[in-house]
Amino acid sequence: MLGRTDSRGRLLFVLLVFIMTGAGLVARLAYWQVAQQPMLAARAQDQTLTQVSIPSRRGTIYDRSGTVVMATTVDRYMLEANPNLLGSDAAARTQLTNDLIGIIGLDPTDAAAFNQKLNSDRPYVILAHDLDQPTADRLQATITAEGAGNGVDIATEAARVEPQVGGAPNSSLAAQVLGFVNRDGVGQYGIEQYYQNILAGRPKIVLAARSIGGRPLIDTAQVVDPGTPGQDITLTIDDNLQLAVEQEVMAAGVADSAVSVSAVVIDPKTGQVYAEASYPSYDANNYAQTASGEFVDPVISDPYEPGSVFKMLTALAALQQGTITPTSIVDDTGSLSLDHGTARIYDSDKKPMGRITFEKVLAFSRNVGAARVALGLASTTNGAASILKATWDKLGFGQPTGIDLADEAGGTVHDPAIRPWYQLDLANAAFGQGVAVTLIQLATAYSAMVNGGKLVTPHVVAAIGNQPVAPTPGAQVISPTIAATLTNLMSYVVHTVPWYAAGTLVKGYLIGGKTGTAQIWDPHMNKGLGGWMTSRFNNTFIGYIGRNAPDLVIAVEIHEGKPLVIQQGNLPLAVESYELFRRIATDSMTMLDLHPAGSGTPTSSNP
Amino acid sequence: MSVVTSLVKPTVRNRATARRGAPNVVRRETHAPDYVVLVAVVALTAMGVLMVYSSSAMQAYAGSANSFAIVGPQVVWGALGLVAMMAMIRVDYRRLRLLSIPLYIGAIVLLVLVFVPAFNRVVGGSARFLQVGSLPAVHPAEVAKLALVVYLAHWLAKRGTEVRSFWKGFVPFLLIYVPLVLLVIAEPDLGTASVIALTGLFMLFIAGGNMAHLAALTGLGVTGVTAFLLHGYQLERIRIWLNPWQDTSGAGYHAIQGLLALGLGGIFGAGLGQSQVAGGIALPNASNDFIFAVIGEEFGLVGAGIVIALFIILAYQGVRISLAAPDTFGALLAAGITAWLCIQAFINIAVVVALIPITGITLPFISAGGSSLSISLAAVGILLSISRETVERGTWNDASADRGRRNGRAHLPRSGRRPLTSG
Repeated sequence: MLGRTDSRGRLLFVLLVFIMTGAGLVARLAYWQVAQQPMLAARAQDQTLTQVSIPSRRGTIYDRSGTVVMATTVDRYMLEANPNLLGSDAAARTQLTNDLIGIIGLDPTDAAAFNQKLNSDRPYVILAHDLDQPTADRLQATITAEGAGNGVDIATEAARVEPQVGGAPNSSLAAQVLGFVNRDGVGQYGIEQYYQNILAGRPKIVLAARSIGGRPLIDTAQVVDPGTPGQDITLTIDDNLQLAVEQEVMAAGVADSAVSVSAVVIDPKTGQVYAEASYPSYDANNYAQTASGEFVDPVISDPYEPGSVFKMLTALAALQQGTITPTSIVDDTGSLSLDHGTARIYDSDKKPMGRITFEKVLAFSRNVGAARVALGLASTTNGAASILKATWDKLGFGQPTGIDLADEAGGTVHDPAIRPWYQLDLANAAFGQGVAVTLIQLATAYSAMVNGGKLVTPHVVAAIGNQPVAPTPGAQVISPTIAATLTNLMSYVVHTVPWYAAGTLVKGYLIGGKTGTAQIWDPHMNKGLGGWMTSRFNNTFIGYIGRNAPDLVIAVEIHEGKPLVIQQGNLPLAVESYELFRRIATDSMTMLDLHPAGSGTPTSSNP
Repeated sequence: MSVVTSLVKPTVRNRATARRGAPNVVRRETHAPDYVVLVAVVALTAMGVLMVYSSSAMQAYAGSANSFAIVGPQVVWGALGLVAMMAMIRVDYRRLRLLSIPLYIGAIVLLVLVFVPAFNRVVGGSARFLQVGSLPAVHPAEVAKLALVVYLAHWLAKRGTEVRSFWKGFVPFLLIYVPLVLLVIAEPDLGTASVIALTGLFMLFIAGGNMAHLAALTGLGVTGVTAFLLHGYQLERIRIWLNPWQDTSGAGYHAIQGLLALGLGGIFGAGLGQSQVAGGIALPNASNDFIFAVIGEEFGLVGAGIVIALFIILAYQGVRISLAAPDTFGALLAAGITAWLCIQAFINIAVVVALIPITGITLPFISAGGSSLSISLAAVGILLSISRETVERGTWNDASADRGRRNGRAHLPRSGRRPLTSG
């Protein structure tokens, strides 16, 4: 009928536009897929592949026998889930949740958390850790039976276990020495932290494609670095003695209502630590439920004012200066006015013993006598202070001993060269107030006094893999003669004072030592001004036991023990520090098979 | 009535009808549809189903434990679309002229309904989907494309040469065209709005619109789009488009992932189902807006080039059908449908190859998306219906087209200045 009104020419023009556009798109496509292809593909590979580090098997820690496992790594299982893949059937989901909770055996609180996780909308949740093989098998069977294999999965994980039971309830053996390993495979505290690299080895590094959830697909992995397995470690710790010492410190801690009790047994000739224990301790298998304060090993990490055990350092300084001999007469006046009458120190009982020999000053722990000896080290206060401070430095106070455990503290020593000491400072220093040290520092210093004068480095690792750790020869810090004198002085102390003799001597052995009862400065007292605690003290005893010569140095500390009676100069504890020393000394001789010279067995029966 | 309808002798098949008392009925003379278009479109759809599965299976599995969660509906919609296509082939496309106004009004109503909070479903920050009860969500902008093409074809054919006039052609055109475009922009769906706007412009151009008007409208559109782009997240898209590498993990991430997928594909591709970036986790919207990147990764430059070639074939055959259409309406309808599908495809691909900023429109026949797939297939059905009635070049009666006095050419005698429109 009637004609077309559209334009043929314009239609053809439109077609031309489309063809040109299409050609342009192909050209642009070729630019990306041919010209830029290598760059894009390389970037894409970088993004698609992810580098995964697979931990190598962690080394096992053995006791000094090399047979008792202190800490090892085992395969455990964890239950993981993608709740989004569980399907929408609410009844089936509830059934599954309840079945899984039942198999794992969760208490109502944990079950509620479990339930919440399984019903969240997160793509990945870990429902339970540390499942053993039978539990994992039962869980797998249930998951399969209920057809939840898409959403719930069981994966292996490495778990660190400390199989030896400790001396106190709910503790594992040597927990504070060993430390523990967190879920990331990183050692925390103690040996696990200090020897992290050796125990963990080098992880295996693989390149793997990412799964849909962004997690690496191990099936696709190509190994970049095979890594090295962790090395085993053999300790110097004797597991039997460690257990006995843990039991002893716990018993003392309970009896004395102490905040903590610590003890360390070391070989003064080599620095090997046979036992190192504190009460309270914790269960490293259950570290997540432990207050973090208990992870810290007080023996190496808690400096405190040592008290009269430091009189041995004063004695050492005076003997080296030649200002005194054990039999020199010192006037114990009961109290002493210092700094032109502005300060005064007292003996603990505030009674004078008169003119007595220096050995008696040590034996009866006369503060005034020790102070007079310290003041007499040089003609000036500061000169005397420098000499005393130099003696401390030589024996390692004020710096870590270098024991192979994490978080060792160095203590606090004031340097008279920086701020000059008053006479009061020097007098206090003579009997161990105004200085903070750790128990391991004391044990190390006393070792030098009884081993002929060598400052050894205490250590807890005897061998790494099959390689024994060579002990570093200690520097000669005390002349052998003076060391012998000091050893004899310690022996004099425990033999002269009747209650020490009753509390420390073990038949058939050489025994010597020194007590210390220190006041505790509480910075919170007197509305923050600080003050000395009146009813609690730190009781220390450091002594040696041996057959022909000192075989072991044992340092014990009862921290904030509560005396039975508060009396001037008489603060009896239910278990005194020197009694605790004797118990541990007896245990040590028995368990380390160090039989007394010329006799059969030591006091208690053989294990 | 149409110029090509003719009286034919009753064939054996319809002799019975003829005998029943209508021997002189006006009948359509039809032949086979354009199989090239049919094959190209079915090939694109089949490829689409394959690629949607390849690109969505993993994510669907992660999201709902069912790797068919996205491709399943796609197959159903594809089947529905093919049925709609086969039906449209058999329907006389002229009947659409009767439907054109209701279709246009319906599209406007749907677009307005999107703004009713009870019905809309917000996807990616835009209220683009309409959800009524438990029925599957539909994308009203897809309906709007078809409605505009049909109504414009009808109206432009009816207006005839008067489309050149400002008051009788251009202004009424704007009254039809602008509201629809503005409603889609307001969703906001700039990508679909530009497809609709360009399609309308192309149709006015083909229908013989005044070049001055077209130029003005184009200028206005470019100005408007520029102004629009310079605010909010649109500006951010431009910034990324200019330099996608400036922020590989944040804003440029989407564009870069598409390019990385193309890079992994190379010339021959990684193979079906082998896409790492696109079919895996890294590429967002892999199964719809960025499905071309998946094709590029799995089939390489060759496969992606074939897809572009198929769309060029569609454009070529579509224009041929338009040229040979028996009437102006058919010609404009065929041209409009062709223009719409090709513009949308080319914009989508241009986004993936980082020629234009990210817009968020589907690749026709291929991308996941029920509304887009089924309506595109129905539109191809209309195109094929027109192709059944194409006439030989020699019989094209454009020789009679009266382009008005001023073209200086001979014209058929006629009475007065009555416009050359016919039913």
